Amino acid sequence: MTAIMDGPEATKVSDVIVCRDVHKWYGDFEALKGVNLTVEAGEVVVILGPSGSGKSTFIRCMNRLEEHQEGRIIIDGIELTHDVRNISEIRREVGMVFQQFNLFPHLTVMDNITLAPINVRKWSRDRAEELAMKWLTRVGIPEQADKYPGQLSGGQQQRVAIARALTMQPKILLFDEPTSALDPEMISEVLDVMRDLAKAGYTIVAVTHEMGFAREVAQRIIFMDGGQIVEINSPDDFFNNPTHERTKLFLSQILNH
Amino acid sequence: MAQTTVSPPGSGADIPPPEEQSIGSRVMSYIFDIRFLGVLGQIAFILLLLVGAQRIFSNFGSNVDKLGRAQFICRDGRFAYRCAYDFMDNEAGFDIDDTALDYVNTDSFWWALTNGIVNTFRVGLLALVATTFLGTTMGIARMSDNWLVSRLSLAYIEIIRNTPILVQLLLIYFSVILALPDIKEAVQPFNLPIFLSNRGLIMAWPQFMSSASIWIAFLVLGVIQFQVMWMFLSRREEKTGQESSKFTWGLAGFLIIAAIGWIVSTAVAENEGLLIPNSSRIDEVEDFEKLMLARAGINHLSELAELPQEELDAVTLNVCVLRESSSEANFVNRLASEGIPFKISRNGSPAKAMAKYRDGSCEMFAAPKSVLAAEIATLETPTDHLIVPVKERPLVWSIPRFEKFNIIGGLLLTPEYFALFLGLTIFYAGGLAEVVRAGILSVSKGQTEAARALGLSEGQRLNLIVLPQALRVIIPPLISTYLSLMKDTSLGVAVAFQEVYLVSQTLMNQSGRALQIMIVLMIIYLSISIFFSAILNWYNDRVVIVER
Amino acid sequence: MASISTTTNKPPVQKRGTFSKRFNATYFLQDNITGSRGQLIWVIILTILTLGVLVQQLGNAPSRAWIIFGIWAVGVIGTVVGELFTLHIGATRWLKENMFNNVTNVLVTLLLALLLGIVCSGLWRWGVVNATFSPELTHPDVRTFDGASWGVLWGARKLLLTGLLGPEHNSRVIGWTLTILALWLMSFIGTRDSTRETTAGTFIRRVANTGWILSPFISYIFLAGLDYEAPFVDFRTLIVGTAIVTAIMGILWFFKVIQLNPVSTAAWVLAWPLSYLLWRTIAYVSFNAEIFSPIDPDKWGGLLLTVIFAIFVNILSFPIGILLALGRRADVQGIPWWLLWPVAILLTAWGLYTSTFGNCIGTPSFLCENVNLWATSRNGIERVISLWPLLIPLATWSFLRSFNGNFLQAFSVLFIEIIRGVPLITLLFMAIIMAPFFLPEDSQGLSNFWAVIVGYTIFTSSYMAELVRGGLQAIPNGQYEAADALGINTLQKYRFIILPQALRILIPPLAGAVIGTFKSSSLVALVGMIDLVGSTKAIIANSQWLGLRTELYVFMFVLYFLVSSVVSWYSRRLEDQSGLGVR
Repeated sequence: MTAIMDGPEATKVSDVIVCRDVHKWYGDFEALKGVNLTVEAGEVVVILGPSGSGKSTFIRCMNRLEEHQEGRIIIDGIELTHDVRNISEIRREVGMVFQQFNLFPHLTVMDNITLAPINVRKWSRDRAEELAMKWLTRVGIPEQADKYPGQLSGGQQQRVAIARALTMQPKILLFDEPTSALDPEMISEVLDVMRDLAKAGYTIVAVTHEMGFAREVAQRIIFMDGGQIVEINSPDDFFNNPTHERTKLFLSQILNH
Repeated sequence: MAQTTVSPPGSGADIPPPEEQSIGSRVMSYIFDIRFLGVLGQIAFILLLLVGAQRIFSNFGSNVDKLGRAQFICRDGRFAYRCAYDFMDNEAGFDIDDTALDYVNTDSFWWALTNGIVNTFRVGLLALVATTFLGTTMGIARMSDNWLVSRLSLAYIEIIRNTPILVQLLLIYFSVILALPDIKEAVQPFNLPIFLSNRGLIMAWPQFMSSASIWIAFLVLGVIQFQVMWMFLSRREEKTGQESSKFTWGLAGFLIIAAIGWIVSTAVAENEGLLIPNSSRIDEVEDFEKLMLARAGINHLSELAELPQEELDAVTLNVCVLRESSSEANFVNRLASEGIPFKISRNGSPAKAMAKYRDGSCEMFAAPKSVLAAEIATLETPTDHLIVPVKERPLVWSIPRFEKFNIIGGLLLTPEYFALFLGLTIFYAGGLAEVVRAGILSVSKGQTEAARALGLSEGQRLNLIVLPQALRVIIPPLISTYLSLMKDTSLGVAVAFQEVYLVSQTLMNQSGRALQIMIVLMIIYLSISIFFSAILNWYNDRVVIVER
Repeated sequence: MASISTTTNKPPVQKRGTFSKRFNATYFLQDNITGSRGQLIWVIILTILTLGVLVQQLGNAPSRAWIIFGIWAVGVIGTVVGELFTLHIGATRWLKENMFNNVTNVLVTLLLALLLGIVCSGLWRWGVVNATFSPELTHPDVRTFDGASWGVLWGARKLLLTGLLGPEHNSRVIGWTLTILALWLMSFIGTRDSTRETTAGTFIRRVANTGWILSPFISYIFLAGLDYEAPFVDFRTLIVGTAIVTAIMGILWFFKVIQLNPVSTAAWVLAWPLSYLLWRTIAYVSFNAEIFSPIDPDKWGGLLLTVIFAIFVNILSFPIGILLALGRRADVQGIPWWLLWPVAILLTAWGLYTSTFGNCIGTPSFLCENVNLWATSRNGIERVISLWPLLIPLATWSFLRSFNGNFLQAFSVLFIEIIRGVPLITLLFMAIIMAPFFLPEDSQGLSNFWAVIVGYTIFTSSYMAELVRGGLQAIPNGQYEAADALGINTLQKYRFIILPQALRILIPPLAGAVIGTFKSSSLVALVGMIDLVGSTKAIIANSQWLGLRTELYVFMFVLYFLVSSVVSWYSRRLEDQSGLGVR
């Protein structure tokens, strides 16, 4: 419909995420009903939608936290199949940040961050810690390295989670509602980091309810409802003249508050 | 929605063409398929198990063949595996002291095992009920605001939970129950009809007479009445808003119906009889007083107390009864209430009683009429004897009484049964107390406050808010406690109470068939466990709170 | 029961009532006695009961009863005076809050104090006043019969501590005990808050940890001794062992649980040969010097055996429990139906052909009965049983239905549930009587000790498995997902993320299980082992100590209580320590 829609040009080499006709069922319930999406390298895509629209499921399919039953997902040229090698390859290249942070409470911040690089990337501890420190500095909490997650505030924990994802040097970052579990005053510190990353050229797919963030940072906004992509649009068009009735309804509901 | 969906982008042109894969990499990707690896791993595991089982069972097979031919001998002496359980029809050859069913040592192994099972349930179920009461009491006492009460129950819980049940059981059996005084000096707490001695616990116990069926029918009617009354009054309450004490009315109705039933069943009952010679000139039971007065040559029964012992012995009635029959309690209570001296001779079978009756060592024989009618025909001159009807009530108390060096009547809990019952109850109540306490504490304070804010009364708060929530927490571990308790009845072996485990062990020694009996024993215990698990699952499915 | 109404049923308007500043008789009556019919009846019954016991006690043991009653009366009067005239001092305030806050509690306090007096004085008289403590005074001829003869504990110490173990081995038992105590002491010191950060503390902790890892071998050498068989090195054992260790190393390396460099590779490969040679050397030396000559495990007894059971069974069953728990939660692709059904049908057909309807041609007549069950069955039940091969498709169907073909799960669930469904003694007894059936014909039989260890371990691991499963379930799903999202493989995920957290949660229940195993080990006495409880039988059979059961049982009761309490106290300390830095 619009120019931004995925067309045949989606097979470019620079496309790092290619999803074609992805279906997912939970028992009899069809959570994803044939989703198509292509993301280019360096692109920032924000997925919006009412709760239960399948947006979280979709993003979790991209690194096999959920298994899709039909369709194809190709990440960085590797197809997500049942092949364990592909799965671990893709997970290595895709970093994820969760709504509930999911830090490991029994490990210090530093150990949280360096666990995967040391065990998956086979780096030396020194190298992993050096990079971890770099990222902790970048997200603004280098002084917390030796603390345990339980001693940090929610915003700090989420920034540690981001640093943990980034230290693996992923090609793609997935954000699954990263600010939903935070107190209002802490949301901005996390959004600042995400904005920073977007500017630095990371490929980002984010599910979020932060409309300001979406409008400012996203290159494309995807609106999902009922397990389908309803609209793909540039932020300006999405917020100012949405194409679909469903989008208009959604926007009117959230913006009128 | 159709117009709002993005149409799937046309043909397959936009799908990236599959990479050119060599056959080798294709095969590799099948091998590394997570599903394939999973199935492969499981098949490897199965094979490993099979190899292990083969090693073990090849030994087993050869051992069974060597020493086990005798295990599979049929009744006719042939050898066949299918005859593995034929030996169970043989004579058991050992005694079970404490049985609920009729058992003698010439009965079959099957029957002995059945008695063991019944004993297991007999002790287990009673302990289960008692545990529930004691555990709840202790759990609540633990939270008491009386310092002494809460400390004492804390001490109880800690001590019980930190010591093995076996040692507790042995202490209770050997150091408490067997250390109780001899039966002649039995302890009688508060002068109640309860006797504690090293022969166990003997207490008054209600016995149903044959007319009880009528009375029970009335009781059922009373319960139905209660329900109906409750429903009726509730409905009226809803309609008119007029409050009424539903419980009191329902209970009153129930009591009235029960009383009517009692009168009716007493009036219509004519099952009990007394066999006496015509010569005794007794036509009905009321004549005993006259007979007694005539025999002793006195004017009033109270003068009996003044008679010397020999004379008293001479006038005492000698009554034959059947052992453990309700006729005994019925007749004895009657004589005792009129103050007539009597002596009871208890017999295992009607034939034995009749033998005594015939040789005159007892003057009369009290039993159900049907029994007497059959036995009177065996006498030489049936017409010289008659059957006097004895009045009965649907329920009589069998009250223990001293006789020579023993206590007769009442319900006897043998020391073994009593020890196992106490041991199980005390041990599991300690665990249950913690469960109950945790359950009540689990109901958050906010719930109580919310209930008060809604203006519910204290009773309503407890019944409608606190208990339902606490029970959700309490019941699952409660059922597990029950299951453990039922399994631990096998500790009866420590105090020689013959429940199913001890009986099975004896069976193995008697028959030499360890394998077969072990299988039966496992099946019995697994059935019990499956039963409780099924209850637990049913409860969990039904009552689980939908939480996220 | 008095307390139900006061704890859970506190009236919302309570401030107005009981012993409040301005005493109001009407409110007092209403709150304490006439509140409801039930309360009134309860108070009356309680009063009668208390008075009854009081009167009876004043008759039976006047001095004790008067003292208790006097103290109680003083307390009550003090409290009442304090309430009515607002003259509370510390003691009366405490009494008012904790014992005499309403009429029911006033009565319950007296009743319980009297009952406690009876029990305590009885125990005191039996255990102390009338008791004898000399081992010489335990013979039935010189014994006091209204008190305990504690001398038996000292007199029978040998049997109580080590059972039938010969006195020549005492030094080894003592040596072992001291070693374990030393290890425990080192762990204790090394983990104290004041020392855990210092270098000395770290060193001590390291030594202790190494000692604990080696403790099974140390214990074995001390307690079972070493038997030296002729060839100094058995090359088959050497090569097979090395191969297994190397294979484990390879697997761990392949799944990236460990990393290898030349040094660590060499350490892995040489671990088995070196320890094997060391073991043989110790055996050789001790054999020639006759230090650690072999002891038959069936000779162990008394407290020693109880402790060995507790330690052995717990150590063995813990890893098995973890494996079973992981198996029960295993989320692998089930075996597909198209693979299972053909096998099942073939097996069924084979069973039907050979066992149910087999024909007798060519088989000896006595075997014929076992190959044609259908034709030779004697009654309906046997006819039904002869169709047993039909159970195979039934089992296959329910396996596919309940477990989706997941064999790991099915195996773990069935194993755990069946073992948990039967009593421990049944398993122990079965282990003892069934062991001979499963051993090779030419072996001289398993000692009862090992049979019981096997049965007991199977039992305990099922319970451990359920505990561990509970711990695993308590780990939030997010932890699994975060680990997956980081690309960590399954083994690493459990090793670094899940198990450390689960085990921390599990410390209290595991301590409970350890205590439970320790306590339940007394059941081995029922299958004829001479453990602490089992030694009683041997002791009271001795004419010197004839019938002194109660003293022994009380001693065991106290001993078990003390040990269990110490272990649970230690587990709480452990939990506090490992809770460091965790929410």
